[in-house]
Amino acid sequence: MQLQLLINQQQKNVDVEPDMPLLWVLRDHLGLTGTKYGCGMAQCGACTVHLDGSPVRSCVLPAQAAVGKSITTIEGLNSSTGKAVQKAWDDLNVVQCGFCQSGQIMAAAALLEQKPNPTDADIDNAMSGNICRCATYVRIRAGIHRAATLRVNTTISAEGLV
Amino acid sequence: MTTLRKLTRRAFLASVGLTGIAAGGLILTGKHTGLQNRLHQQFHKPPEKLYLFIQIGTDNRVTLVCHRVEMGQGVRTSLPMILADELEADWSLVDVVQAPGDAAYGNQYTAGSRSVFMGYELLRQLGATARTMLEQAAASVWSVSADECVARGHRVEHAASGQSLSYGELAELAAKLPIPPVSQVRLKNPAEFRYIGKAIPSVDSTDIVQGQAQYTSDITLPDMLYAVVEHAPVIGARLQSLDDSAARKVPGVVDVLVLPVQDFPMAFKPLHGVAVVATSSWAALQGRKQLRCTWSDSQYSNRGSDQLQADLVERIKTPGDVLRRQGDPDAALASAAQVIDATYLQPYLAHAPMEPPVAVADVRWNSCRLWVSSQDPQNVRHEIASLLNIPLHNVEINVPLLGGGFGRKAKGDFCAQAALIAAHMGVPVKLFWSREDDIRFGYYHAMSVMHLRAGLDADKRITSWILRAAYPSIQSLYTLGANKPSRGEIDLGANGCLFTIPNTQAEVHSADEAARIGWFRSVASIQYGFAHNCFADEIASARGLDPFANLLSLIGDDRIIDPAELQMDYPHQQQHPIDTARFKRVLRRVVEGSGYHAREANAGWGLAVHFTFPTSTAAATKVRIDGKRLIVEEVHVAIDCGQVVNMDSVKAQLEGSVIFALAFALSGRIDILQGQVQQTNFHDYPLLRINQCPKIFTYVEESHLPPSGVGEPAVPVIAPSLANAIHAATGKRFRQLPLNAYFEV
Repeated sequence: MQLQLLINQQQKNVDVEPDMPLLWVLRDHLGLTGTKYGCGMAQCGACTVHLDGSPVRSCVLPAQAAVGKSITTIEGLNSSTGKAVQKAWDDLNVVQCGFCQSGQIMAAAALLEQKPNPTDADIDNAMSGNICRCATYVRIRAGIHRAATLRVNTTISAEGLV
Repeated sequence: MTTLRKLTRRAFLASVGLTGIAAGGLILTGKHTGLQNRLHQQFHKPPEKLYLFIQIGTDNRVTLVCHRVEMGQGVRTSLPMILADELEADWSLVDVVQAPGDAAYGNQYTAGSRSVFMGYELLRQLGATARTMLEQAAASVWSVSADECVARGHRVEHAASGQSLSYGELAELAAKLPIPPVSQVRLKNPAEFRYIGKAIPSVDSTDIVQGQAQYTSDITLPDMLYAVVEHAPVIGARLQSLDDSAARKVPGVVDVLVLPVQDFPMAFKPLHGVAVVATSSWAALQGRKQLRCTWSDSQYSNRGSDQLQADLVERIKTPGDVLRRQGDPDAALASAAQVIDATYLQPYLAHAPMEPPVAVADVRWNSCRLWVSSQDPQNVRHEIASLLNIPLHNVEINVPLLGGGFGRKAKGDFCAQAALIAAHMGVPVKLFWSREDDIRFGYYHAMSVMHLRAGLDADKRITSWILRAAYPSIQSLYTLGANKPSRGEIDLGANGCLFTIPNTQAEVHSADEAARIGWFRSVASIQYGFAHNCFADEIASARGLDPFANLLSLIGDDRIIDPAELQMDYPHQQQHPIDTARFKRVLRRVVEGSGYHAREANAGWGLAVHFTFPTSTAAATKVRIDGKRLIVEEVHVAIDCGQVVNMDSVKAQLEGSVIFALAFALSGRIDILQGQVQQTNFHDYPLLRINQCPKIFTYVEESHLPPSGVGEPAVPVIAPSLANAIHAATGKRFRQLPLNAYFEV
């Protein structure tokens, strides 16, 4: 079935089974491999993308359900909030193996859009759907706080934070 | 902090053809017998040649090869840091390239916390050798003695004349010089270190946070197909009937094939099953659901974890095989004023790396290329060459980033499956395991039953300590019927005990596995560390001592313990002596750094100390009990791993070890019923989540002693410090993990 999807502000036409989860459309059909498979049942958050700005688990979202909506993946996370999160992650060296971090960053960016200055409890609440087996949680918390500060204090160009 | 040029994907993939590069630059290669001391013979066996670890281009950029596998522990940063430091390279002019799996690079088997521990000296020698050659090249340009030429910050300087040349300018000339003997190569003093001991960010961080980093899961080749395997539900069972008609009708499914039956012992053989090959991952998964298979029984079909645990709890009451005996523990026990004993139980555990096992294979006539999420690329290379009957030199093994390993990916069973399927299909194939495959068909950390007994004299001194251990052995992977712990497993528990006690005994019992057993971050140290530390805490109660004072007294005076005294096979005594002063130092660190001595209602602190891989660690953990709820509030963890290379990654590994251990202590449990693993995914095999994550405080000893392991040694102190903290808070002992059987976690 032909689907037209708006991904990272670009229209993409794909010919896939309508029940195919968005995750596999992104990864196998469009080469957007930054979004990861971790569980296939919305348990781990490695596949988190934004659908009209809200975090969703793309492993259980049929691609058809994303038609007409704006999909953002880690590759297209160009918002000032997204860039602040990525810079904070870099600054604090959050990543270990890094496999879950696309999902963590997407979830963190969505949180900061909702709550520009989240508490630890807000962070725990928003991020508890994202598992990190290397266990970078301490730095994820610190990273979100740092990103909140960066958003406020830094001018962000289209290329990223400077 | 310096800025790093990130490795592009093209450069990453070009690493495959490494042997041909850097024309006009310095290539350090050729035999270097001076480096082949005892340690390196062990680790780089056999060192046929000394490899292309360092290239210096005429463009002044330095390319350093990371020969070990990156799975989040930070070797792609820490190992090049060692080379760059001795080389006096400017880190901002360094590129890191990943080595393919090839014996030319020495030991690449990335497990056992050994990359820095065993590679440190060799990499320093290599860096220093290249630095020496650059100094010699500059000396010849200026017609001065090499002694007058000093390499510093990517240039060689001649102080007397004020001249200097960049590494790029010297590269061609240096490449023509003979490699100097090791006696002419001076290693730096620690005071001269430029990078070693500092905190340097991961070279892959920026790519990862932008979603640009390449894992094996992300490798895509032209015409590539996707495959998943329906595995026999019990290891060793055989396919009896297959109806694939519905599976073949699923849109996108290209083929269904049966992977060959494998006999015990399973080792790393490609698991038997039915592979579904399709044009997308989703189609392969959908096709697999439509398979109709029936399977035979196997020798595991009548085995289960509850049953084994019940058997072992009985068996442990009887004497086992004695592995260590010091003094006369029987007599000491007979004359004891008080005898205490306890039994500690832990379940099977699964590794569950975030990236499930995955491999991409492209098999052609007489050659193949693979991209593997493997900790052991050389072994995969050998296995594939043998499996496909392809000459070793025609088997190319590439190792992108691993999405976690923890020991699971030390076993290349899935890589061999990918090769078999790709060979059949004639086009590249990405074989991936679903999370369900990963949880149900792992190489599990062994369930264990540990029994301890100690005698106290009238003055409350500990006069005897007897350990009986029973757990299925990793050896069962290789030897049919092997059901006693191997030497390597036993010695992770210091063959019984590291405390200074006059009469000790260590025994083992048999235990039959019900699944493939494998090493899991910290391996048997997990059950030994738990049992010893929990029991020490019970002894503290019996002695009426504070647990800290009790641990100090059990460790005893400052001394170097002779491994012969422990009847332990310990090859590292010269470089890494077993030093009780270091155990006490890390223990003091967590006690002094934390609020250990504070007392609060419904809260408590617990301690633990251990020595393994061969590093000293200690933990102090604080819990709060809120009705049925168990809250882990703080974990303080200290390590003495000798010379630190990358301070940031040591701290990250400590943070990771805390959470990894809390995950299994709180909720990790694999059940096996009639040979079938019952758990399937994260809903029934929960890992720790951020809302369960305590505050973590890390303490790293400053030391210039030889570096030892970091990735694993802190894991075994966490669970016992937690159980001991619960005792402090509640007065109750919890001797069986996971703790979610008793508390909401």
